[in-house]
Amino acid sequence: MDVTRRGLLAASLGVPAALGLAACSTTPAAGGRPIPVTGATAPPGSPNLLVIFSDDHRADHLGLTGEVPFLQTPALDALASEGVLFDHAYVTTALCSPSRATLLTGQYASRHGVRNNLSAWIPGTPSFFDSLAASGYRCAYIGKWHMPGDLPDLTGVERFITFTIEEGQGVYRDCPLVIDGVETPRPGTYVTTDLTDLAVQWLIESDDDRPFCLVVAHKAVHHEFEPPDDLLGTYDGVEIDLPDEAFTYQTLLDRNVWEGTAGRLQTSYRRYCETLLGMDREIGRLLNAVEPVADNTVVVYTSDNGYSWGEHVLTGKRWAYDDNIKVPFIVRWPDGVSSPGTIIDEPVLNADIAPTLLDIAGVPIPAAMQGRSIAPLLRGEPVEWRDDVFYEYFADFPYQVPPSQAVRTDRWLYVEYDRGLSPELYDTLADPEQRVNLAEDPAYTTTRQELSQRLADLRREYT
Amino acid sequence: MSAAAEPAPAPGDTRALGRTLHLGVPAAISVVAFLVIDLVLAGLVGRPWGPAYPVTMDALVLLRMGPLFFSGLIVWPAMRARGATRAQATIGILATPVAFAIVSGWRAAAFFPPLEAAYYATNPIVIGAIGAQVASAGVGALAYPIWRARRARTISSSRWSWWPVVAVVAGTALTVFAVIWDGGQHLFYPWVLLYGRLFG
Repeated sequence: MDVTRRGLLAASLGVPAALGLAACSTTPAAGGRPIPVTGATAPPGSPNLLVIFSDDHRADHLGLTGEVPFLQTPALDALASEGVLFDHAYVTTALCSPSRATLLTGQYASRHGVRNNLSAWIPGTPSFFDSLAASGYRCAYIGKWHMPGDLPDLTGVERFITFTIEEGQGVYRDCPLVIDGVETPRPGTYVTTDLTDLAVQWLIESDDDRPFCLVVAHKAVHHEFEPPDDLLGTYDGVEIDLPDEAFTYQTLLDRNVWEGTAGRLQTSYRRYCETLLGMDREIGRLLNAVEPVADNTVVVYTSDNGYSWGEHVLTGKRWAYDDNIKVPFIVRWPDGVSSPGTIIDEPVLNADIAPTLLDIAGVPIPAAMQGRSIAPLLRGEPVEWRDDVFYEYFADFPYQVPPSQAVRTDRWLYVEYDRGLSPELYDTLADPEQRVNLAEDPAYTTTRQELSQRLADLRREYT
Repeated sequence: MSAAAEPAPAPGDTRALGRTLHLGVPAAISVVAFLVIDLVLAGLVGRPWGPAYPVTMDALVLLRMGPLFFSGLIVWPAMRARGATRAQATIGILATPVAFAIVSGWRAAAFFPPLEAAYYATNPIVIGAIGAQVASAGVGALAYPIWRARRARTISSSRWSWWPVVAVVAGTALTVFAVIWDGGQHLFYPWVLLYGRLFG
């Protein structure tokens, strides 16, 4: 099987074995500790797991949603048509580092400890990689890590490729990589393409029969919103529909100025969409690479958080509003999804990904994981599911966003802030853009009290 | 500038305060202009009232940058013309960035504890504004004698000095480093990391 798979992958891509990666292939693995359990064998037929994780991709920016008329994401649309799209997918904290840690651990920031972009990954924190590796999976993490401090010995992975430049944010062009612990210059590269090449190369390099678990974490579509050269200007002529409260130079307001988007809002937005278009193309290339084993490969696509493009006069993330907390969430699982091409309305979390991967792989889910496996939803099985989700945000200097906790139901968004700031309540059905704060409206006193109590319960449960 | 040669007020001179205030008028105008624009901006933001809203807001945002970054162009020569020493004029051109720093820190106090909010007041935009003011003052110092001589239809008699050129170069370099080069991230990240060291 191994030879066959390698051959198919290479043939499907036409990627030469070397791919200019001599430095990688000859570098002794130094980025990950030895796998805890050696010699374990995954049960025959265990599915491959591919998680594609983007940055700042808001939920409504998929071509298939039609929310942004000019935007095209053909690869992600195709992925959704072959799998399912979760229409109410949320992150537990709308911020890079905490969200990444949540993806890996299945825990809230309160539990895994990466509370903001200044909090380091705590060495020894168990991730789904540990469980999968112990069960015979071959695992790799390729892409943006973006948790401060020294890169950890990420246990369970046999290949760990990331970048540390610009405090882990990376750069779009010539981004130096740390490949299994070795600093490696990458002149002449575009980071989204480079990470895809490395991911494909890792798949090709397979020399055993083990199933794989590969996480590809893109820098895209984070600022500085640099699309590939051939896509720059693709959306220059299109009409952009900004929110009423937005204006061109709102990027220079104190509340937005640290987001790295200083300049014309419309220009940044066009580049954002072009960068997304470029990432979609690379995702398509990666999906083509796994096509020969697609029948036995589960693909998950999501992002670390959404992004405001003028809503509430904000440019960025961190807030509890839908623009920030909702993310695209697509799962393709040929053997599992009962109704491909459908949209699932149940609320799911980024914390659900880790337990879901383990569940699909037939690996026990550690009790410490706070998310739930969404496998029953994918299979279309009747299941008691959550009615609401809990959100938390911790102060992240210097961003002027107050620490908050929120509860999001199918109708309501209720947010409580620290530091004495007044709570907010929105009826998301009547007011999907969450502009009218009903918290002080006497007509909603009971609703507010009920949600406040529910939030207190969730806080106790998850923090 | 001949005005700079005026004798400094004698100690104990009862008119000293009034004279200082007189010298500081250009700087005060810059500070007040910044604060007024800033307050109007804060009052209007997020409250669209019609088609003029985005244009007005953009105008206010950009206008606010005038006194914050570039008022040294006028404040320096104006204060020197009123008899301010270089030290006094330097304080004058720094007054608006300092006002911005205070406002920033005060606003940050809504999100961070007091000491952290005070640290916020040292943010890269304040540093960039200081650099821009120094550069602007240098340009003002170079341009003012020429402008004055043209107005008087004479040849400028001011003694040439290199310091305005140095101010333009150094101030511009500081501004570029703090807020322009790669979006200012080469100062931003060390500033944030220092925050982590101090308060983390």
